[in-house]
Amino acid sequence: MTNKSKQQEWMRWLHAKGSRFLLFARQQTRTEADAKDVFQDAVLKIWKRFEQEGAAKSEHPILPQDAQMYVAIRQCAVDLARKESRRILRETKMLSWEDDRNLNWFCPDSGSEEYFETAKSSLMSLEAKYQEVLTLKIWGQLTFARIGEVLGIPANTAASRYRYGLQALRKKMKVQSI
Amino acid sequence: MKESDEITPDEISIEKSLSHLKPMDVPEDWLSEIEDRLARESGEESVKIATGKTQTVQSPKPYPVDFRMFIWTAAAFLMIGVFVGWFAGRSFMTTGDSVISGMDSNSSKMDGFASSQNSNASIIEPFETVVRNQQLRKVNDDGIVLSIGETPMKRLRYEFVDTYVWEPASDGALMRMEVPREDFVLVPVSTY
Repeated sequence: MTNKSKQQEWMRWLHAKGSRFLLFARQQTRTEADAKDVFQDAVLKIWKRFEQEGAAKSEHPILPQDAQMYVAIRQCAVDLARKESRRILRETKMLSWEDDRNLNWFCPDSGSEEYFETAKSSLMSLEAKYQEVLTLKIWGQLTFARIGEVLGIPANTAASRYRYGLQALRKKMKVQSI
Repeated sequence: MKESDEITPDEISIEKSLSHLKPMDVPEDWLSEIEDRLARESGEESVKIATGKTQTVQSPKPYPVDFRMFIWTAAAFLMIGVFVGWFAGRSFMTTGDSVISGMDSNSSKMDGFASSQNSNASIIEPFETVVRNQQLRKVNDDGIVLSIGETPMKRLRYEFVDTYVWEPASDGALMRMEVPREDFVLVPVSTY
């Protein structure tokens, strides 16, 4: 398979599944710009790895598994956060992350406006450890075993975090809807 | 553990309704950036042509290099290297000799140090002064100074900052030095 056709295959894959990966990237980062960097870096990282592995083995899959992409996004986000925390310590500058973070996670037309806003703000206000499991399970459609691999936690922990996350979400949504 | 173990129907309904929320699509410009970067990674260049479409072209392969043509060049460089090395080694030996002779001579240790410094100074290239500036920052009135048998004086304190910037001849580095300085001036005052 030529590089061009491989590249086209990847772009088709990104068009199909990019929104889910981007959602996870947004969840893992603090700003929209960071999410973009992390998303692009993760794609390139996997692409390079696949090129190297593809050159070494003749029977190598063209496209990565979703979990591989999520792992790469998480790694890139962690790397970025390390750099960012150093930079922030140096500059001691506060940014309005939360405002930026709340932008553009979901399509506004994907539910009734009221429900959309309630669900979105409740999800945003969850602890990150629950948020990431919910994101990977509901929109990433990964199993708990896979989520465990991506986040580096046991599958049971992922399952219990999912459950606690749903419970917390339910409480928050009830409070907000009152 | 089963995936939906212990999840209440209420939570399942939340799960379902959340799954109706569609994540935002990746912006097209982000994807085209990724496409460009992937093309670059795989040795292809994306070229924007006048119609606004993006066409991917294969970057030209490098010409095969005939290394025999470099043999004479390499030999010439080797000769130059040997010559420069010999010359540098010789000048180093001379410098070392002068330091040793300075230490061995009947003069004091300071003389030896001075001679070694002089010989080093000949190696270090001179700095060129590019800025020499004297700036008056402030004039302070310190009041009247009284001294027995002399006319009263008014003491003025001038605060200066002297700035020097040097630049070595070869590289573009700059060395900047700022020296604060204070000058006192006594001005006789007339009494009535």
